[in-house]
Amino acid sequence: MRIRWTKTLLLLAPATALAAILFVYPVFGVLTLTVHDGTSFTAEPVRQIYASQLAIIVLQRTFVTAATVTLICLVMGYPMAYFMAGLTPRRRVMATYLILLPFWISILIRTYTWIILLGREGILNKTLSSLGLTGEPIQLLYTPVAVHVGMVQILLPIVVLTCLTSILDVERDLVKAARSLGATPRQAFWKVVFPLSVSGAATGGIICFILCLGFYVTPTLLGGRTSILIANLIDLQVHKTLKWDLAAVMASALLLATFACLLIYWGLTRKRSEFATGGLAR
Amino acid sequence: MSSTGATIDFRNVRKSYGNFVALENFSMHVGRGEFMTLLGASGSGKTTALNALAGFTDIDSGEIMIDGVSITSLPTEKRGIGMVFQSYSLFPHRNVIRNVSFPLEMRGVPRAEARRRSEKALAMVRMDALADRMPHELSGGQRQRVAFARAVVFEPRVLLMDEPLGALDLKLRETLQLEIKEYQRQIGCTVIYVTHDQGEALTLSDRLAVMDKGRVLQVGPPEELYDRPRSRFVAQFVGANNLLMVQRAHDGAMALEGLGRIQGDVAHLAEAEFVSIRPELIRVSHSGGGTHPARLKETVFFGNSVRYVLLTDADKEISAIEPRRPGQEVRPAGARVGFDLDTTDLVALTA
Repeated sequence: MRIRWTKTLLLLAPATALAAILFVYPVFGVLTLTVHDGTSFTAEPVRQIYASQLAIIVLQRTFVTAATVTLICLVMGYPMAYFMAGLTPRRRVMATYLILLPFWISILIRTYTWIILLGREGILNKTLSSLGLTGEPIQLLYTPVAVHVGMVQILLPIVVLTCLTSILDVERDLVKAARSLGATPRQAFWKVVFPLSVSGAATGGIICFILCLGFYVTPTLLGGRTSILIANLIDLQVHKTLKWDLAAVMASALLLATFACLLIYWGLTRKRSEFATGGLAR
Repeated sequence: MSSTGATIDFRNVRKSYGNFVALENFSMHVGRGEFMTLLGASGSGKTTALNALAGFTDIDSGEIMIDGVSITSLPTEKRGIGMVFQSYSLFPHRNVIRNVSFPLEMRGVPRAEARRRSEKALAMVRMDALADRMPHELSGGQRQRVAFARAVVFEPRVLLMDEPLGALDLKLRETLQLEIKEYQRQIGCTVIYVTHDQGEALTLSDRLAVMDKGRVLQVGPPEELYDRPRSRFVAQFVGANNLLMVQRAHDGAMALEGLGRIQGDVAHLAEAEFVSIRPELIRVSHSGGGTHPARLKETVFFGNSVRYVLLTDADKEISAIEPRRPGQEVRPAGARVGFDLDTTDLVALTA
């Protein structure tokens, strides 16, 4: 037992040390900045952010954007995952590769391509005007729409794959059982597959939401002045205005929100593992 | 809860997956309220037959009928067949009573009546006290009882069971076998039961069909399949058996592999290429004597019986089982013994 412990500790030591030096310590530093100005404790940065309309608006916008993007990803991703779950294993692997393909392309390039597609002289506007549907080009780029589109494209694969796993986790025999007991395919889906996979899909949604909160590149490149998110504002405070204490307060708010999401995530996964024992022990 | 069982007919059903033929020219009739078992190893086509009847698999050709009406083009939910799976397949997000009421809910039965009927079904399988439990809070045997109640609560005329006891331990399996048989008698529905366990098949069935490579080799009541197997496969698959090749001398006299010439009535073996004889029909004489001399190769003590593996002088293994009285001596391996058999007990087999 004792040897096992020493071994475990040794194996975990490098990663723990790295995390402590590079992660825990700086995060602790950021957290300190929010309430300590170097000489004494102060509530000033928190008060300033609380009073700043800009910070509040951007914080709100970040959460609304994250929620909207997550919702769009779930509404698009779950049906796609359900379709994939019905494929033969061979084809499902192929489909998974296709879904993962964008991951091998830099997030910067993927974002820039939207500029080509959505710009004033972009493919979309040219097509619309050549069809005579629009006179003036529509302003798409540098709007919240462009930010949403860009973020959905980047996060959709993650949501599809988490939904797929949770749908595949539903034992096939359960659907057969439901059908034999008189359920139509539609009823079998709504009464069995959906309730059993929805918590898995929700965990995918939470991962997506957490990632949204910290998005930086996409809103910078595709969003205009009116669609910056919290990460952009933090960057502004750190690099341009040099108000590190204000940046720290906003970063801490982000951290807090992420932790809250993680708590919900743990709650959901606990519930899922309880269900998993409902069938045969696997 | 009762229903009149329906008749089931398979007519020349064929099903293949690529090059693998799962069912070939499969025909079978199951009578009203009959307990029919499909017995075979994995890949023998027994589960495919069940899936085709339940509507989970489309068949390439042939026809399946319930009560004389073709159901081949009906979707599963319209076939009105109850089914019990090896994996129990209880809905993990519904408690026991809501699992059992599921088929009634699908049929639009009013809530109060559904509740009453579900409780009755649970009472039959003695699970009414656990109606509010979740499936993961139940043991394997309890889960299978609930699954059974769920499959019969809507009074289907046909009940299919796919290795329902396969995941349970031996003791529980034996208890549940008797229960299943009892419930079926109460309900009266027609049952098709799939298993690879020949003991289970012999215990439960009114008739059983032994399957191999997508074909039915022999159908009949358990005693008939046990006493009069027609092929080598059935002889070896159902119960333990001794299998002997038939050799014929020039003068027409009959000899058996490892035993030499045999005396007695052999008229019924005229066409046979192989014969079988059950171990319990071999009489071992411990005090010397016996027509066929042999050496004891192995002795297995079972408590109420003893199994001897005998080695004839021509090196053929013969297995024999003897009931044992308390205190009776068990001969050690290596002892010289002899044994006798009645030629009328020999069963003629084709290939």
